[in-house]
This record gives sequence, structure tokens and C-alpha cells, in this order.
Amino acid sequence: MKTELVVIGAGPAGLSAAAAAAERGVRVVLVDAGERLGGQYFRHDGSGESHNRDWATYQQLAQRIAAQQSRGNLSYLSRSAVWSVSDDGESFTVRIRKGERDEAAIEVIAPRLILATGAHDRALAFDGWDAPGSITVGGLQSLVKGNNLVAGQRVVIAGTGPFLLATAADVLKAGGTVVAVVEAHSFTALAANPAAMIAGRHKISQAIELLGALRRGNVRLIDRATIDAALRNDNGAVRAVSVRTNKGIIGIECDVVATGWGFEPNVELAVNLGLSTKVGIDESLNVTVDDNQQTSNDRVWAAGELAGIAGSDVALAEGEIAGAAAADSVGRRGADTEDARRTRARGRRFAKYLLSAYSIPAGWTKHLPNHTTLCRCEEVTVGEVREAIDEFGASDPRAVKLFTRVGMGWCQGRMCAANCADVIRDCAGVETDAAALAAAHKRVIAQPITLGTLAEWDSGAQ
Amino acid sequence: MSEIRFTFDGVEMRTTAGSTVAAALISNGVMAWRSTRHNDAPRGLFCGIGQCFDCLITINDKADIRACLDVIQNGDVLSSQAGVRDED
Repeated sequence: MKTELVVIGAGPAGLSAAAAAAERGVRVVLVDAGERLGGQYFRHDGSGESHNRDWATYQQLAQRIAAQQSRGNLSYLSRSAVWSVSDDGESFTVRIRKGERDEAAIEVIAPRLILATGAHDRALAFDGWDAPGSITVGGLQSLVKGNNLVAGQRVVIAGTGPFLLATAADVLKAGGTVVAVVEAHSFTALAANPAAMIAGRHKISQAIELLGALRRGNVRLIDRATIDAALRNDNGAVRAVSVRTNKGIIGIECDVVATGWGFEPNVELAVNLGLSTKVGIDESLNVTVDDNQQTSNDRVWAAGELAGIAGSDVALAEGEIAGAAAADSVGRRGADTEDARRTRARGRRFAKYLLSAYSIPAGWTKHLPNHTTLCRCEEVTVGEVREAIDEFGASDPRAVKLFTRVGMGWCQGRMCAANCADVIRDCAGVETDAAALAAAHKRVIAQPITLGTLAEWDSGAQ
Repeated sequence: MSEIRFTFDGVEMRTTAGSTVAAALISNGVMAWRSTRHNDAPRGLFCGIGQCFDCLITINDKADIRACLDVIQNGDVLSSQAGVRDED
């Protein structure tokens, strides 16, 4: 399949980018791994209704996409996981595996590309985080949004940031029981900061409303505290958590503990294309972009979380800007993007305050007992990684990987590479720089595929 | 919404049509459906959005399907999986 522009990702950024480009007359193929449009933020159950407070925004975007589909400017490929993108200098070849049951292998070729690949939860390791019942906050929320289902009878939500509050409120609305929300910092850190209030008064008052709703829902709100361990029942599943507070350790019974420490951008495709990256203020790896969301490759734009975690408003704005810029590069102009640029500037300012106030605690890995699983796929413990550092002198993620197999399993380091870098910092005092982080994210094949799929593509390409 | 039937390790279960495989299992009280290669440890859903590959399951004899992404079909036969089938 050939087109003028491929947009990868159908969350807030990808939807607005695809719509903006198609409305300017560019032929667009929108590719997304999910079952429905919307990505993680606008995930929905297909009923047409949602508790999402920005649902009207989604409906507007979905209408814009549908209008461009019926005009023949836009095709949408759902359930389509991109496992590789290559660039021959003129055009990009996007290779897709359709559906988890391998329905088809598809190839899309286009001279221009917009990456809007989003992010996933940053999950910090703790003793028992690999027990059934320990999930990410995003995982808990995706079940509520996508399936109207609350995992567990008694849920504890822990980590840091306002996403914990939003998800707890979603669980209550869906009829679930949240026993406690455990926040590493202060629930009201931003309200005490006048500069943050100016940048994001609306967001801060939303968080305060959520706190009120959670109190009324009998949720125990514990701040300046972290999960120390998940305790297991006879089947090995979560039965309780121990929480480290400034008044000592307390135990809370639960069958699900959902943790999240902000988000990690999905940068694999960007890194494979050799795009410039930098380390963001939250220490995650971000794709470097200019004012028009253009990356270091002048035929590739990046919009949304992979250009720096800043939330859905900024993602929507960056998508509009990227879509307009991609159209502009082939001489197709439309309305100016001044509104989107103002939203982006304001949103990025607020994101800086948010990410600084709700950061990952320095030295967090020092508390981990040696038997804690660090790499979930290859079942490598924190102790084995410490040994590779202390005994064998490994001082970067790649060396640790070679000694221990950390990051060599199916998730390709998505869950553990950042945690491994933090263990190295806490043990050896060595910070992992952008180049080493990028190396940890570099994968020739971005999604596990079968040899059959690979062979099918190979024979088709000849 | 209509209901569909499936089996998990031989046990008959029901769920809402359109559910993901993970949601279908969790709504039936199943939290673990895979055991790990080295330690034989139980695993189920973790990231919930297709990134961690912890929720792999065998469906109709096809191994290594991400339960969090795949939508369950009427009559599906689900089996818990030991390790990662492709590497056996």
C-alpha cells in the first residue's frame, strides 16, 4: 500500500495529526495497534459513551477522522502493530503485523512519517511486583475504560502523580473498591506552588476535586509513602501490601495493587530510525523536535508523549502542529496553528512543574532486597545485577545486560531498562546518558513477530 | 451486550462479547494464566497495554497471544502456558 503520509498511533496526538494533514488534502494512512481509535487516553468500550472528562474532544476528533475517510483522504488500520520502519532516504517502509492471531502482514510505503507512539507506565520494581494481582495503574485503568471491569475486590493504587487520583476515581465510578491511594510526594504539592498555579490552575483544581471525591468514597489517602512489598497468598498472588510511611511500615489487605510512577515514552521506532533524542526532566528518553514538531529527519515529525511527557492537551496540540507541518512540506496549507501553539506552550510549562513535583525518589533502588525480580521476562534479580556491577565492573545497561540477560526477554527492556539504569546509578554512581539510554531502546524488530511473518515479508519484498 | 462462552483449561466460562481475553479471565476470577520458564512462577496481567508480554496465553493451540490486546471469540479454547512456547 502506498500513500503520502503514515501516522503511527491513534491516541490524542496521532488522531489530531492525521486529521490536520488529511484536512489539508494529504493522503494519510493512520496505523494503530489498538482495537479502536483513541489510544490509551481515549480508550473506550465501543458503546459510544464514556466517563472520560474530555469525551466531547474525542467525539469531535473521531468525526474529523470519519469525514476524511469518507472523502477518501484517510485510511485507518486498526489492530496493526508496527514491527519495523525503514528509510531508504526517499520513502519509509512501515511493516505491520495485523492482530494478535496473525491475520495478515501489511506493508505501507510513504515519503513522510508522523510518529505518535505514546507512552506506557513507568513501573518501579518492588518485592512482589511480579505476583499476579500486581499491575500498572495504566493496566487497571485500561480494563475500566475498555471493558468496564474492575480488577480485584480491594484495590490499592500507589506510586506518584495525579494519574493515581484519576484512576482511583474511575474505579469508584465503575463500582469498584479502592482501599487506599499511596502517593510518594504530597497530594497537594502543586497547589502550594504559585507559579504552577498560574500555568495549570484548571488541572490543579481537577486534582483537588478528585481528592474530594476519593474522600467521599472512603478511600484512605496516604501521602509521602511508598509500597515496600506485596505479600503473596498460597497461590502466589497478592494478598496484601506493606507500605513505608514516615510513621513506619503499615500493612493493607488487598488483592490488586496498581503502581505507576509517571510515564515512559515509546521511542523504539524513533531510535531505530536514528532520530536525535535527549533525556527529559523526568529522566525518560525523548525524541528531539523543533517548533513544528519536526525531528532530526526532515521527513519525520513526532507528536505527543514521545517528544516529552506532557499530557493529552499538549499531545492534541502537537498533533495539530505536526499534521499541518507535514502538509506544509508538500505545499498544502490550511488554517494557522496559533491556538495549538499557545496550548502547547502553556501545557509544557505546567508539565515541567508536574514532573518535578511528582518525580521518582532519588536512590529508590537502595531499599530493594536482593531477591527482588528486576527483569520480569528473564527473571533476573536485583542481587544479580548488583553483583554484575560490584564484582564484574559493569557500569552501563549494555554491560549489565551481557552479564545478566536483563532486558533480553520479550518486553525488550521496556519494563526494566530504566530500573536497571537506576540500580547502576545507586550502586556505582554512574548516570546513564542519552546515548546509552538510546542504545537500550534500540531494537531492529520493535515488536516480537514469528519467523513466519518475517519470512512472509521477506519473500514479498523480493 | 451479548454474552459469549469460552473455556480456560477445560473449565467453561462466560463473558461479555467484545472483552479482551485478559478481561474475560479476570471477570471470571482468574488472575494468573502463565508460569515462568525458570522459576515456574505464576503470571497474569501486568502493563495491560501490550508492552510487557507477561500476559501471554495459548488460544486454540496458538501460543504467545497477548491476552490484554486480543479480543475473545465465542468458542475460544484458552490454555495456560508454561514459559514462552516459541522458545521451547
